[in-house]
Amino acid sequence: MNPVLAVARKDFEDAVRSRGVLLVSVLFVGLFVFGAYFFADQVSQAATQAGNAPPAQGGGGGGTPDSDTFLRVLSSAVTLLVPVVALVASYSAIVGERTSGTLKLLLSLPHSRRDVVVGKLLGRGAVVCLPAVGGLLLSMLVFPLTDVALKPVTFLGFALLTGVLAITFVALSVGVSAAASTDRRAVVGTVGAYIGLLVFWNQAVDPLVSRLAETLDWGQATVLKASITLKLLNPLGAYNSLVASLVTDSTAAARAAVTGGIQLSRQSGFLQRLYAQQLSQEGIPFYLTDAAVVVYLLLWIVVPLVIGYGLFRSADL
Amino acid sequence: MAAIELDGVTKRYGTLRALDDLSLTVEEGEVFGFLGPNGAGKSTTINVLLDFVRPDAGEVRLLGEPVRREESARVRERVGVLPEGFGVYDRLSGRKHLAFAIDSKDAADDPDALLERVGLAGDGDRPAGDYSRGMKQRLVLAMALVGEPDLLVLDEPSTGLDPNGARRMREVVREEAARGATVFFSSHILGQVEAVCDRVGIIRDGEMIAVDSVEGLRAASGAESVLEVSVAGEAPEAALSSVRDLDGVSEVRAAGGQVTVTLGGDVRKTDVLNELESAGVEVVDFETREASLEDLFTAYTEGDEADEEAAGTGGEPA
Repeated sequence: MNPVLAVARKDFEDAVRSRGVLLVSVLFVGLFVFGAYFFADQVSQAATQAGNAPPAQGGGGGGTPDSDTFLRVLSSAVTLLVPVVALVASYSAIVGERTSGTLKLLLSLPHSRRDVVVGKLLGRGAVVCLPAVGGLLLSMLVFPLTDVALKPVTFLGFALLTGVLAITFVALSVGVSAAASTDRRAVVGTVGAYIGLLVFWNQAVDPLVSRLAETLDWGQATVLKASITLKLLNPLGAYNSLVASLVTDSTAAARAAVTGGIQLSRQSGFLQRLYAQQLSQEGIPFYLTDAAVVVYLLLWIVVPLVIGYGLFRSADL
Repeated sequence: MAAIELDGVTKRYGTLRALDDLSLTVEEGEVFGFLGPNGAGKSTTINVLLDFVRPDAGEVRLLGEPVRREESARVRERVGVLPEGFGVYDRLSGRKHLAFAIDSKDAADDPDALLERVGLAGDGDRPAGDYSRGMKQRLVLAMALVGEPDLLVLDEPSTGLDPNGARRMREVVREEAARGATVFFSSHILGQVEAVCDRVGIIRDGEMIAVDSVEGLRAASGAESVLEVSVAGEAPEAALSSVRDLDGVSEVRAAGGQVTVTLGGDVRKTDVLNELESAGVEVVDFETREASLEDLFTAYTEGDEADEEAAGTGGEPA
């Protein structure tokens, strides 16, 4: 068997025997399936009330709620939950084996350290992706049983993106785990990275951009594009903007979605609409296209792994 | 082609020189015992062999292939390793461990036959986390045997084994050698080495101080036999040093009423006894025996009192 696959398979078999993974699977499946059920229930209740009082509907909403509406709601929960689960499931992937001595077994067999890093990415990636993506696919089955229309293509796209988000944070975590020499360092590294991305990244972007704008004498359009690009370089921002691309028709609106902060993709506020308008007037530059944002997200898989592997490679065990 | 070649290997940890220009060649097909007190550099040597640790200088070759970081995975398909200070995957069964080793080496071994061979038949389906230290040691030995390796590297293989397990370990080493494999193993339990090794290397302070067959070491050290003398009271230092001055006496140790004299080839034991008595020591009883490897080992590593350890008790995992 290919050494990477041998490591991945062993890692997967080991991890699925842990209670934590069972718990996470139940959590994901429960959240997604029951979430879909409650959402459909709310929608049908609202529809009944609206049926009793038809004039209240007006023309304000975005039409009838469908599974895309559910995804908008769900994406903020996913943005918070999936990375945490990925980090918890993977922070000790390599350093844990290093401190327990099982790494010596692993490296005594014909595996290189690269095989270990890539194998761990695949093994832990499968451990996190299977319940997350599987839970989403299961929740699709809820919609035909309700009045809410299912849009299968966006739903599958969302499941795929969520899988990529999970892999991204598994990769970040495995990279930290490869570089760390103690469990504590791995915990500090992964938790620090997550909080940094969730809380501090976007807060840092705006002051940075205004500083740059002052020195470089940028126009308003440049400021907007710079700010959006920097926020898209955050994997959480990239994920949110790609989800927004799935559920809206306008790329400009999807890119502007990151200006409202990480979790706000469900409703575009006034400012976001303004930014989106500005952006579509300017035209979408290549570095703000969907493809570019996918690349930003994928970079978060590659870069932490390469750095982590580099440090692991030169370490004395 | 040599199975193991270390050429001028030096490894420093900060200011500590763990290995100092160490060179060693283990020929194909031999059983080589690697001896040394704790802290002498045994584990560092094996860690260098397995690419766990990178030497500061020197060349390392396994089965003719240079060991370089990330490039030695292929040659390790032909090497079986029982590392020191390993852990097992607590949640995976013994059989899963073996399946992993078999997958990793692209081998076709039967896990049950391997379990049987190391004395774990019937325990294959239990999680390895429930195993005792000795059972873990057996399991990892079985993993090392996967794929009929050309070279077995066993680091302190008797750790945690009961006498039965230790005997089985020796049997396995003999069987593997009979099959044509090279076996390199380290130990501080000298009886293990003496019983199965073609050649022995002794390391002290990061340097090889002797490499030879057990007989050759005996001859080279001149320690043909040991004289154990029981004396009344305690022998004074003057008496000991006059014995020490005799031609052919290589070592004199005294502990309580016991004087241990290591004799070279041409000294007569009566000379020793006479010398003691003329120095005013009353000899109660005496006994001679052929030098065991342990005496040789002590003779070679004399002066390392800090490293003296109770031979026979299994060492703790590092």
